[in-house]
Amino acid sequence: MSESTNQILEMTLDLQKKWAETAMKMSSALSSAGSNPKQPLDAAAWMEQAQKIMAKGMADSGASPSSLSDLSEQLEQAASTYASLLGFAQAQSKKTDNAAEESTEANDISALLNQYQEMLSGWMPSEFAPPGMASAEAWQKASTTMMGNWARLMTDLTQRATDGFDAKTTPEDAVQGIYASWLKSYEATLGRFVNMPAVGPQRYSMEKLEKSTDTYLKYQAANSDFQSKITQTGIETLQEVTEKAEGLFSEKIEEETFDEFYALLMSVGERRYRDLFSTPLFCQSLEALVATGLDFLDSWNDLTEETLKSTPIVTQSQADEMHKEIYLLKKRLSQLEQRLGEQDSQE
Amino acid sequence: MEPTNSMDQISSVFAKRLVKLQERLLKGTEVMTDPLDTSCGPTPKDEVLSVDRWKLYRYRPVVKNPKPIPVIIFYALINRYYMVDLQSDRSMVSKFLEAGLDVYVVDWGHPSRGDRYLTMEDYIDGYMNQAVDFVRKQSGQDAITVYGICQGGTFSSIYTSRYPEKVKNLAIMVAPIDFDTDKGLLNVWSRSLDPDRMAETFGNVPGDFMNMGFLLLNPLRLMFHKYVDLVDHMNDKDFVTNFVRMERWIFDSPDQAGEAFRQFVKCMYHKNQLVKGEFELGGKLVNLKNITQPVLNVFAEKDHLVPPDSSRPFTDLVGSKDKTVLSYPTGHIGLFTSGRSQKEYAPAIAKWLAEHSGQKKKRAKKAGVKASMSDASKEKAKKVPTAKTPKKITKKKKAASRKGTKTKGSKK
Repeated sequence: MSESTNQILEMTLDLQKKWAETAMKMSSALSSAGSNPKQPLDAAAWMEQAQKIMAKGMADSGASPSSLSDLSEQLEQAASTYASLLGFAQAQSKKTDNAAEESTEANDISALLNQYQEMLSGWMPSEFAPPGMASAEAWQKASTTMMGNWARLMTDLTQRATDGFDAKTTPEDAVQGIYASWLKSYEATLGRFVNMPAVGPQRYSMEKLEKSTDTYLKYQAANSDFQSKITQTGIETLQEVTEKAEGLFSEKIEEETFDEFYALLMSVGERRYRDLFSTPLFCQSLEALVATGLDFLDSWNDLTEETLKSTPIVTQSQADEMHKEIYLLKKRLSQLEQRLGEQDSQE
Repeated sequence: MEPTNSMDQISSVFAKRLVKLQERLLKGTEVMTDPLDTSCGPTPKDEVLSVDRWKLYRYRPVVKNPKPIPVIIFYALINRYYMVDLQSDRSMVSKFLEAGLDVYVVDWGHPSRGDRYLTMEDYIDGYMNQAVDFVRKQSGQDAITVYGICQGGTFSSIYTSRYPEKVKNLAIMVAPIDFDTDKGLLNVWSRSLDPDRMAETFGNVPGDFMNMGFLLLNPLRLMFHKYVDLVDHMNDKDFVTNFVRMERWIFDSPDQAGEAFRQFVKCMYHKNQLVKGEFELGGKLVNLKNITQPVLNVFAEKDHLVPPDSSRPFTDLVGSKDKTVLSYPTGHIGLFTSGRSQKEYAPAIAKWLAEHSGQKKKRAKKAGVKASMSDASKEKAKKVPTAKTPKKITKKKKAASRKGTKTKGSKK
């Protein structure tokens, strides 16, 4: 490979690494910035500031790259833009943490709404009026009211979700118990909407549909938890193999080296998965997966039966009734035949 | 210049492997697109009985005068019976036939939704009993040899303890008897399953569901390495043919009748009732001590499905005096399909079966019937042929009565 190609590869890898680190830090800062239910994130103000920083960064970066060196420069500037955003997000996070004890829910929501209204005024031209609305101001007012209601709802739900987490949970327990934590949060928040009682002529079907949705979501969560364990073990396998393979590649590489690497991968992987599969946590996860899967299947069958009721098609439960009848009749017949045979032999 | 482990060196070695891979893939494409004979069960057999979903087959003897005591093979409900006769060079049945045995096998078939209510009682007291009675009648024997494989071995043990008068010899192979062990992942995982829910929801437990469980026992080897190995040998027609045939068997998984599944998991895996003497079938307790016939217990020392700890206790639980244990350093499937299976394992089992199949016992006429028959009737009755006209058999070497357990075949 040529030297210049090597350099470009190294530069790109370096930038990607920086980008990834920055994105991870930003993601973490954003999630911590929104975690305090008493102080909702000042979203409008944050977004406005972020846009200004982004615009400046992008403007400084110039037009489309004409060469690879321009591209790397622009990528570097973009990375530094995001670093500035990160700084802003961290400042916001600190600000929300400090203000947490003094603010009240009502004041926080009004402040948010004021910010939101200012943002709308800034973005929307004054002559713009959406269809059905008298003016842009009327739209802004209606939108602000809706936003306020939504903010109150989210605040309430976030509070309930946060209550589901135990403050003493360790990170390891959190990873292991992610399904349990999610389930608790779900049942406290979204689950309440999903399981709302249905009304009206279609209420039976609606309830079954709600039940299917509820069981499906729980099944997906259990499946994610299960898959995470499988994946986690895969990652640990690769980590161990990487450490052990250093020795393999430190000497002269032959064709057989790849075979040895593969054999190492298989032996480490088999051991790790065997260890995983016999742990109580895995068994719990498997139990949850099967149980939620059966719940979902039950509710789905129920819904299908409900749908098919109005059609001239025999449903599964109706067929099962017939099957059971036939089975019992065959059994009775067999018993009678046996008795007849015994009687014949006695005669 | 001395090569170093630079990127160029790695690329060069990797490129050589890629070239070889490409050659294999090109040849492999020819192999895969050519007609491949992947049919299973090559040994000729005839269907002699068909009841509901299951069928009874009789393999055509390869000797002029087969042994008088026939052998009936009961495979597990999980997977298909033709594992015992997968292909011509991997056929346990062919070894049995070469040893002069008269071999029958039950094909349980594929249960439909209507079979979801079948219980273990229906299988054991019903179907197995029907099959055994048929073979007894056809062969003119009071008692025959029952050979149970895997779950079929568990069923055969229960059957023999219920109907000892109909069983001359009992052989079980990789059969789970004692389920209270943590050595097998199936035993560990089954505790997390709710068989009641599964039977209620599924009706018949899907074969694919069972398959996923089996594959999960060793996912790297069974879902990854196996196919890497296929690519490595794709240019070998024999390898590919055998591979495809094995794949067909592995994924030919019948659904499990819901009630029988529920009963088996609850009574065996969860409560281990058979070993404790608490298992009830047809209203009666099953007592393995009722088994006093000669028994053969074959198991695999590296079995990850049915660990040796699950099979081994069988010989201590039965009331037999003539007990033989054969254990081999292979896996669950290796007992049937490995190279050593044809050379070593199957011939040893066939030998035991042949040694125990030589004595003929005519069915006694019913008391009172003889007296009432006229001379003409008696003459006629004598001449009525059975399906296999019995001939006088010269006395063959009979194994001396053995005392205690004899263990052989274990090679480290």
